[in-house]
Amino acid sequence: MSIRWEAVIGLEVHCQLLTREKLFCGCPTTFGGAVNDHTCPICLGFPGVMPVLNGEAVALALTAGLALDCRVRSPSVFARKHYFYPDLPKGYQVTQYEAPILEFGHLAIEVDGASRDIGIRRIHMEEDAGKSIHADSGATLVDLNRAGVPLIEIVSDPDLRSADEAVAYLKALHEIVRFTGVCDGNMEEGSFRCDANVSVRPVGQRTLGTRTELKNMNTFRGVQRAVEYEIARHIQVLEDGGRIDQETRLWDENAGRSRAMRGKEDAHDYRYFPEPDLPPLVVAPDRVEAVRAALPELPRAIRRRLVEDHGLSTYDAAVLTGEPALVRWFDAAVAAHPNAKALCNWLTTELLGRVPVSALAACPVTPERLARLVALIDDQTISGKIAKTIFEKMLLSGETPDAIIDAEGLRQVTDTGAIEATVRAVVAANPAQVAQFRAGKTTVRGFFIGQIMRQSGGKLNPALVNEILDRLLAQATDQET
Amino acid sequence: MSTSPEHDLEPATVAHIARLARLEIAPEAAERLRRDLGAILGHIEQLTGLDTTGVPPTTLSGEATRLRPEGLRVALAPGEHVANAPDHEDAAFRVPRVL
Repeated sequence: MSIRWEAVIGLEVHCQLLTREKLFCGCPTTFGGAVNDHTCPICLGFPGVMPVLNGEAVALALTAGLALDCRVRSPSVFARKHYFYPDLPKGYQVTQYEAPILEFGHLAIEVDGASRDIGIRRIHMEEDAGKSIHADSGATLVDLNRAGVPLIEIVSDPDLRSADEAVAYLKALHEIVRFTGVCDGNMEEGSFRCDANVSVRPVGQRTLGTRTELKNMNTFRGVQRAVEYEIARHIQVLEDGGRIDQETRLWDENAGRSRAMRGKEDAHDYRYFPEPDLPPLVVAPDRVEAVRAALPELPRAIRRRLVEDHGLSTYDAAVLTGEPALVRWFDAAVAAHPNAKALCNWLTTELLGRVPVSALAACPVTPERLARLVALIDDQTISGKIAKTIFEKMLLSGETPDAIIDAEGLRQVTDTGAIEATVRAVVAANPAQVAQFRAGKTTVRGFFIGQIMRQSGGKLNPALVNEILDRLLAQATDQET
Repeated sequence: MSTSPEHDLEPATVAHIARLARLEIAPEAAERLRRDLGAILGHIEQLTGLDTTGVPPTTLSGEATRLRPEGLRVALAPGEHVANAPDHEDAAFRVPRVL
């Protein structure tokens, strides 16, 4: 009988905090920059310098932790983690070890319609290392612009049971750090990166199997594939009677496999000790409460609001919460005109079909202007068809819908007398089609609609046109019989 | 708790510390370092004999830690950051190849 296996996965996620300055000095944190331009004696680890903790970084760490229902630990303690690598100028990384600033949180994930709570074991603050560039000359060049940039590491409990759950957790976390403004979530630039601890055990066994740590997964898809691969690898090794070594493995996205990193025998001896240059971090309770009070609405709550208060589908709610800026845009539009469904359709299909989310802020079609356009449809000043023309012109000219309507005379005709005159004229001018209609070919009705709309430039109210045309065609048929 | 100023270190411990520090040390130097390190550790261990019951840690005043506001930076002149480096290539530090 074959064994049924269960995977046990825990994730460690590093998020770069959206401060302007580094963790212990005033150097800028902006990505890129000329090599070593964002460095100073402190982040270069020159002798005699003293680190002073960035208050903004503490505020952002607290924000992330409180959004994840963590408890604040005060005092928390910074520690030195020692290892040698050229991109680590001091020979140690300042991090938190035994006493992290935040502990015991949780995050709800949804997989296949079922909701689960995943434990957050701890969140600690630490500084990033620099970047090694392996030059063609064979030498290694070191750029320390990133050294000292503030990070938080969010460590989950080993509560995840599949690659799907791992990715759902990672996406939920990604969403929260972006919506709280803690991190820009940019995986390509490395401001949001994930390591995964993976093990397997027979279903029902309580003790954990030996785990491996996966690194170098740069996309959600990469995490999915790497974790799936690693679970399958563990099961295969164990079923073949082998043994899993506790080791760090690198995910190779192109090859679709993980491989062991070399030379790790001393790697675990980091000789942590409390950082003597930094006092224990005491956070006052009123500070914690101030951060808690300032927490923005979180994505889950926003989706619930969009569905329950605005009647949107869960699909639309998910689309709108894809980006914090998108929800803000939508909320501003709904505040100006409360037709949420129509605004959502215009925003997600028409506007986002032409303008990427990142360019929305600079788009001439502002939330207020789109709201005005929808309001003009709703009060029958214009038809939905004409609205699309106006929308195109709004994008190109940067004019308001009212200005375009006035300039081009696009106001919808709702005067039944005027509409009836046009419809009558079209019916009278096309006796052959009227005869076909009378003969039972009802599809010819579309021909009349087309003619009427063409003659009026599409400005006649479509509902009234339909009503009047039906009445006139019926009369024509009655007259015949 | 030791009352002796000597802390007896294993030669293997000295070798381990040297390897972690990426230091190559000759065997005779290792023995001298073993005694020196042992003396230093023994000296420090004496301090652990003090009764500190009821003495609050000086690092903890009970008040919130003072933090740095953003907007302060010690800038270096161009090229100054690599001025003391053993080797550099333009603005980058240059080190032996690392994989």
